[in-house]
Amino acid sequence: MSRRWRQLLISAVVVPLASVVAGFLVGALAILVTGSDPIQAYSALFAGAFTNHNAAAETLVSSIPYVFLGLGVALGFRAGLFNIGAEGQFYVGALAGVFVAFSVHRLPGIVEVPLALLVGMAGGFFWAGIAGVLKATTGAHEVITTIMLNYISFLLASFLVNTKGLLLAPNVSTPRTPDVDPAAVLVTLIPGSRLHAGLLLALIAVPIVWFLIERTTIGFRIRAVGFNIDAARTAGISVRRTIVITMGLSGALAGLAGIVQVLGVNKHMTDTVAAGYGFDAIAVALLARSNPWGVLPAALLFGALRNGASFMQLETQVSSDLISIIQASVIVFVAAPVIVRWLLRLREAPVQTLQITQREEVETTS
Amino acid sequence: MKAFRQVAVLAAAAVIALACGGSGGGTSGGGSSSSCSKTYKVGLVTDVGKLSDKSFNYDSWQGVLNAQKDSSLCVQARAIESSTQEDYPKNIAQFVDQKYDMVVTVGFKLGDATIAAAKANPTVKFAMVDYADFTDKPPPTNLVGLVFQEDQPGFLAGALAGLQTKSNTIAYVAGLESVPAVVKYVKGYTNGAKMTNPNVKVLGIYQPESGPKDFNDPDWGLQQANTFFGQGADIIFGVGGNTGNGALLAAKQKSKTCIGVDVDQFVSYPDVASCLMTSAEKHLDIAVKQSITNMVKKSWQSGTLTFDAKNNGVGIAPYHDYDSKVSTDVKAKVSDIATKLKEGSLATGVSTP
Repeated sequence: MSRRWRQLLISAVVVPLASVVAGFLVGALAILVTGSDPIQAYSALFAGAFTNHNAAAETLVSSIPYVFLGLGVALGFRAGLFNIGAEGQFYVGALAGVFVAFSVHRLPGIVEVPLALLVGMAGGFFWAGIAGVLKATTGAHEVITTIMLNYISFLLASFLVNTKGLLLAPNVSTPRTPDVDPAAVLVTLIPGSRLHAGLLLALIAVPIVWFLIERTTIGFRIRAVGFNIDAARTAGISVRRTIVITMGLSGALAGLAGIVQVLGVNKHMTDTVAAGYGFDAIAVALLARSNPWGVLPAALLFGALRNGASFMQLETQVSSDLISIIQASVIVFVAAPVIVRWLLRLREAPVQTLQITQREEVETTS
Repeated sequence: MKAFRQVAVLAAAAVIALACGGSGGGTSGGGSSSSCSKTYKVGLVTDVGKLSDKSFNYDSWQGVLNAQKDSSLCVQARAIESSTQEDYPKNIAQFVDQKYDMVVTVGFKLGDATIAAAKANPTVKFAMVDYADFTDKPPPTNLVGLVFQEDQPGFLAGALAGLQTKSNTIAYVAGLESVPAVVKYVKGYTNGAKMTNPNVKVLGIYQPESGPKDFNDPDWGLQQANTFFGQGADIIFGVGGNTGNGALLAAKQKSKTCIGVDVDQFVSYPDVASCLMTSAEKHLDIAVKQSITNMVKKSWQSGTLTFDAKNNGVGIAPYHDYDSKVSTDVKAKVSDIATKLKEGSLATGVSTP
């Protein structure tokens, strides 16, 4: 095995896997401290995520938004953009899409579903595009602007969903939008479960995003900007345009996650629809090292954790919030690969900082 | 030396006795002791507030735990905390899949999911805490909504306020007028105060429809309370979630007296403990335990189960730090009113729909 391949294997597979294991060990410590048995808790977590009735289907249901959101955040990473606003873009996409989905009637599903999805993506594109334009024109950092836009979108959702006459459904006990048109619902794949056709969309989205990044002109520009802005500018790439488009596409994927969640799972929207998916997605993208294919296993892990948590609590009364400890620890280890390399005695590997743009793949001339 | 040995033997005996007592207590609490021919499995699903909310979820869970501690019921209890709205149907289904006998859900947010699950699983019993707004009537026979007669604790709180006020002016800051529970609290409060103190002036305001800030505008609540203090009020009743909590905070800042709502806010909102005279309470724990008892004892009632002074389902919280500031005479009068409400010889004058 060549040195280059060995390094790639270590950074793309060994370190993330070891980080996950280390994260679970930290979680086990937390369980021990609270007086429960980690082995029992993790067995229940596994059962709740995979082997129980409907558990595997539910894990996939929880993983679907992570795939879209993880792809979106990873796409931003590749251009060196830290999109913290996926949660907000999820909301705006869901809001825009759900408005279409409950407003349209008497059209075939083949029209209504793509229409709602496109509008949802447009909503996310627009919302993230604001941060992109601000960055491109004024240099305002996207971390700051997307965080601020998150707050605006949460309150916007709250305002639209809770206020009479806007998106609030009449005569409901809890504030929510009207149900979407039956034809706009994403079909259920396994009868008796909640697993919906969003899974297929997620599986299609991964190669599309990969192709976009690796095999298209815009993808080349994204990678070039992420690798070295000055060099990209010198090479004649419009950095500003690339930043706006990248943020927009990143947001479009987040918005798609939102509307898929609404059409597939809830069939309507409340003001608390996302509940952390967008923030977890940053972790998913980091764990995947911004590689679209890596997003799949990372999303599956996060979906399994989220889904298995409730059965773990049922069986062992370990709080479902433990999941956050595991996720956070995994991210600490992923973000500090030096620790993992030290733990695994991988001394020969060069010490490097957290790398979100995957330099080695741009080094085509070497 | 002999004395020392005796002390040592005694000490050892005490340690052994304590150890045995401790372990004995531990096993008898499980509910699955040998005297039970069948263990009833009861699951509780929280809303996004989670078990540590010191309020609805926490109190409901205490009711389930009390049922588990009651060895005559043979109940084994578990809880699942929900993180998102999508979790509600899923977490209810977890218990159903595990062949639980009964599922308790907390709060109106789980209403739709609970009703749907009750229809789909007729062999499992379902209880909704503080919610009985059924989409179709009559509701399925395996479903009960536990609701409370809020005018009674409101009446008691008002009666106490009427006796305690020095300026003959009391006030309330309430949530939305469109929510019947809020109106019942307020009307009971007003009537109670007028009964014990015919000269009392009751100032008050309902929060206007404020979208996301419904029941969640402490700043507005604080301002309104300050206005009422400026008009001479010395006691304020905060009845409207965080909006009401704002009024309690105002009372603390201005060294006035405040009255909490729903649960003992001495526990749920300790920041205002110093101004809190009492709280107008719904005894969620008692209601939940009662519904579990009904299931176990085969005296299940579906539909709406109302909790009032008669079945100890409502009341006022202990005086806590105000214990020394309320005279024995006043305490006696209040407890006399409570007894009369319980017996039914006194009505709050609030018509209940």
